[in-house]
Amino acid sequence: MKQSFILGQYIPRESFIHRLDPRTKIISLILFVITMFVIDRLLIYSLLYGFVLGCVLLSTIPITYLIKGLKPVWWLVAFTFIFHVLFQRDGEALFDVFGFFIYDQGFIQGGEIASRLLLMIVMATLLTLTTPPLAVTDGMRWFLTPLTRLGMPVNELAIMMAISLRLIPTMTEEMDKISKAQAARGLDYTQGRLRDRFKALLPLLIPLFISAFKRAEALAMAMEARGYQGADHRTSYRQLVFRTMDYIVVCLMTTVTISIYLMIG
Amino acid sequence: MIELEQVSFRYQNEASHVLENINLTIEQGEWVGIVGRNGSGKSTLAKLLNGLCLATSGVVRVNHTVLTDESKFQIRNHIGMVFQNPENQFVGTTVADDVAFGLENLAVPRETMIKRIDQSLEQVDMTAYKNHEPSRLSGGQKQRVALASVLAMQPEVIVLDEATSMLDPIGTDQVLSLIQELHEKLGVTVIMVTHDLNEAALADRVITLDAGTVWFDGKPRELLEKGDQLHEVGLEPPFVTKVYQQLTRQSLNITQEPLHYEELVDELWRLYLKT
Amino acid sequence: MEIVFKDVDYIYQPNTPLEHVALQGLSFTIPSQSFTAIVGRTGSGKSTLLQQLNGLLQPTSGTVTIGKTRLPGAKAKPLKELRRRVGLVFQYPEHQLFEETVKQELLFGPKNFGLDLGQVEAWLPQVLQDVGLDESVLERSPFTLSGGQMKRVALASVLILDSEVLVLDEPTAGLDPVGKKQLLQLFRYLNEEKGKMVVLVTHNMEDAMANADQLLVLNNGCIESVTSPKRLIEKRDQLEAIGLAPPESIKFVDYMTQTLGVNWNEHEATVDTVSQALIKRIKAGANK
Repeated sequence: MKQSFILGQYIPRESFIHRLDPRTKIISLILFVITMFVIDRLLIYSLLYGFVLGCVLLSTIPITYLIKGLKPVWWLVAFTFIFHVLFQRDGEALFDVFGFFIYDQGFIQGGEIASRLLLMIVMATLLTLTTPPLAVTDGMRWFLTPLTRLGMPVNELAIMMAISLRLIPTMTEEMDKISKAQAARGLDYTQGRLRDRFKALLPLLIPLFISAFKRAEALAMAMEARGYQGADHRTSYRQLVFRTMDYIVVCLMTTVTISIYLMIG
Repeated sequence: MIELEQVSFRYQNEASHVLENINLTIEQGEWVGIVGRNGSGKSTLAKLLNGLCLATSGVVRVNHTVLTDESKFQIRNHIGMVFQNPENQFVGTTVADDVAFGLENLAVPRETMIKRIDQSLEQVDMTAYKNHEPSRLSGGQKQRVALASVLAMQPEVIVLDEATSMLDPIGTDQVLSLIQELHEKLGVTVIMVTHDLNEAALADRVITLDAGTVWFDGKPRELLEKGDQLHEVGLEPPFVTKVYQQLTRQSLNITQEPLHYEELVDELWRLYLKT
Repeated sequence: MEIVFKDVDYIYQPNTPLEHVALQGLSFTIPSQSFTAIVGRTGSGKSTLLQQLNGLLQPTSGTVTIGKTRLPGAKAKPLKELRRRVGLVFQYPEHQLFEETVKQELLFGPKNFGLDLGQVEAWLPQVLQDVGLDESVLERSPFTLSGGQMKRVALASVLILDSEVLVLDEPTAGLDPVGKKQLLQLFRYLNEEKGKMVVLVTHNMEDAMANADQLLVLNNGCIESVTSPKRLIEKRDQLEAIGLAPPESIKFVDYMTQTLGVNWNEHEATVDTVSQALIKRIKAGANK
């Protein structure tokens, strides 16, 4: 399971996309999503497909890896498409299947909505695949900083995020270890009735929670020993640097989004 | 530097004391080993020194300041601590971020921070790993990063709480020789909790705890002289100590208890074989 | 029961950018009822290897034959049977405890494998005694015990399956010297008196050499050598080259042969053999 689903993973490479500032990537993703919801012409959709494909190629992440890793998403996209084809009642009736009419708008709207879903997920995956998780957090924190004035604990949230990200690999490993250790004692949660299978999760979850609490305690102690007294009044080592390339990309994305909007309007 | 006066500690809601009436003075620049079996109170003693645990009764003083709930934050700037489990003290997402964490807490300006990070990674020979994630490091490397994180804060005292017990022998050697080097070069006070007597033999002074009280306080050589008595407090005499005992039983006279096999062999050469 | 590895490769996440070859071309045999130690540095592939021993991981290519079971290819039922016959104790097994009482914890495995619980319960006191625990712990919650006791409970929860093979991953990690010695004695007893095959995975050469009758040295996912611990003294340079520290006793022997010109032809470096060699050398006098 772990090795097949890739949403949230990061693959270190040295590509153009990897080198962009996380804020650039977040803004671009938002602009891209806006564009997608504005347009309703198939021709422009093919442009969007081209754009996404271009981004994937630039990122040097193997396309086969992306296709395999997003397997569950394919099903969702296919389901969305088929659902619309079957139940859309607008437009001209194209043909009937055993007295059940299929309309052309079904294909068009199904195609649009499925494409939106697909392209959005691919782009979001690309963001996490090309940006270290901590950089994503830093980027989000930058966008949220104005909210500190409204009393939102942005700094605390950022530290919490950073530590969770730090602990994900550790806890995944722990989960793997515990499930194997229980399997060695004969536990099998893949067979039997649903109730039994649910019960079989306890030997996994209880040790996992206990270990998570113990780790949290130890980590808190380590943080305290290094002078942690709260998230405010700290300086920051990490800095986001907006380079020339980032300005160009953001300008380009904005211009393209506006011109598409004007063209359609 | 550090003084403990009639210090006792017990956990809330528990009847028995973990530590009872401890009196100790540790001088600046000393290297002190704290040994004892699991549950003897040695880790608790270490945590009393920087306020991670606060004494139930008695007084802990660091640089003449009494350690209290208020003063502990200031005292922690002088005492760095490395814990047992490398996995549970790595706060940052990368090596550099982890070293930065303590400096960020001290609100060190970013320019100074960058310098100190580079410098301390250099000291522990981890510069090449600056941007690595913890999952790509070995246990020994993680502990060296933990040491760098402590060094960057420029403490006067470094407390190591069984910092090598989860490492393989190579990792252990690397961490120990690093500590030796830091002790000599920077003159930092080292307090090392361990149950390995070979490690404790590196110290100037060893404190042995048993059931929360001080069982022995003196030079490592004098501790090893106790030989089989060490078993009583859950410790295993090193190989060289056992050989030494065997030789004295066979009525070979050797001037002093050896700390290390090289010392014993050299001594035999000097006494019996040199012409 | 004999364990045979033939050309075993194991690859994590094959055909992805995160692909990682953990084991490469392993071929060796672990004789039945032997005490085998698998040694190697952290990251040498030890823990991947030990998971092949009861089918938790199955070779990407090559075969592992454990008694009559052959991997890959075993179906669910023989695989479960294999797990009963090969008891595996992971590093820090105390982290897998979850039941309300020690007794329930010990019966967890037997229930899963459908053993006769009456028989197992009658056997509880013996198992507790083996791991050095008092019967009074049975009704206590495992989480009220000390770290060392929890480790023993976890160990007992596998021993109670009475497996023919016992695989142990760094079983003494975190114990103090006395606790460590007791457990190693237990493993030797299980091997010598109860005829179980013991596979000890460790980075501690001292424990490996003192207890095992076969040593498997692993380096970077490949077998560096399969040898008897007694012959290992001869290979100490090779060991150091792959990052395994020889035990203090071996370093001692090295130093005394170099400095004093001691004539060393013993197989084992123990307190007795080393002392004898030193005394002999001293008696021979200065002008040797």
